[in-house]
Amino acid sequence: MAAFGPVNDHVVVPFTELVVSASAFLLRSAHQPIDVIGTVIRSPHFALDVRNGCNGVEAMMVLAAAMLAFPATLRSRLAGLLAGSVAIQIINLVRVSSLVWLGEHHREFFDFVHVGVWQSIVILAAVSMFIFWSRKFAEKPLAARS
Amino acid sequence: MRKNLSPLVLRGLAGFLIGLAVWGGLSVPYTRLLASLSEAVIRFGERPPVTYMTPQGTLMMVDRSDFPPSPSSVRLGVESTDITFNFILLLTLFAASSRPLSDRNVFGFVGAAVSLVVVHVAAIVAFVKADYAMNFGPWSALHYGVVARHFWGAAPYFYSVVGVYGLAFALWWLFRPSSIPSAQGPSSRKNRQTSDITRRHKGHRDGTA
Repeated sequence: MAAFGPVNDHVVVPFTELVVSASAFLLRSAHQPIDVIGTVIRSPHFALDVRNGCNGVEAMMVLAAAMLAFPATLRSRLAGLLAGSVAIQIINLVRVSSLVWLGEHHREFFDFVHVGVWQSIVILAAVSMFIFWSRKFAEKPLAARS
Repeated sequence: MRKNLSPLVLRGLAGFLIGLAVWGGLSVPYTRLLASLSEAVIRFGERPPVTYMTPQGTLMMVDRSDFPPSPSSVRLGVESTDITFNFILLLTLFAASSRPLSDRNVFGFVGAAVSLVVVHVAAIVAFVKADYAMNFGPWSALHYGVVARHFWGAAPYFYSVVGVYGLAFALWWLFRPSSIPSAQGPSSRKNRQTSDITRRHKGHRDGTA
């Protein structure tokens, strides 16, 4: 659904711009000279266009699909979704900021960290959050029912 | 009852780091293997076989002998690392198992890793076929129908967004030790005990009937 044109243009892209602005804020706080144009974040020698797959939306969707499909109370689901989405976006903020920093200062490691490290970490984080949530919160209503 | 999650996290972290090292260290030779396997699969479906793939580092350049490359033409290059990084996920999941070095876990991982090679070849074939179906103008329209163009057009996107993660989890699920039936496993023992109890109970009932 995120790939569907109108959803992408009116929801995902503005959200990605927000992610980029937050990363730029974080990097500026660390005294990095950063420019932002839409979904592109630019340092003096490097530019990164944040697209689908790098904005944390897919990980949030994976988490949402798992939590909504799992038997639990509405309150547990909403709390899990909210907390999980915030956590994923914090991780993603670190991911985008660190990748821009790497691209600027250690370009030779960028591809390895971009593909190998961060993509795995974000999806493993989403799955770990689901496991944690399902053990902490979603077991209670099931136990109570039996 | 809550289990301590620290050992699981530590095992997972160790698996992640090992996976990262193996994936990073073997990416170039693995790209050569994938290029030769994918080329063989694609050529198997071609009459006459025209596709050839040339590995350059972790990039696989795709060419066709019936469309010789010219300085102005754009060549397709498939980046293998974008397709193969789910190996790290797979190793992490198996490493997080309660007995990571047990025979069943190791054999399960080997089975899943071999299956993952098949997945990677299929993904590369999908990337190449998508290029053939979508980017060769009138030639694409002539050789690929509407359904085929949509199918091949969507396949790489599906793999990149969902499949690359989902297939690693699916293979772990299929090959993890608890999913492999064993003649001496605890579930079999439990079933045997249940059968014995049922038989005894039945015998007792038969005896009193």
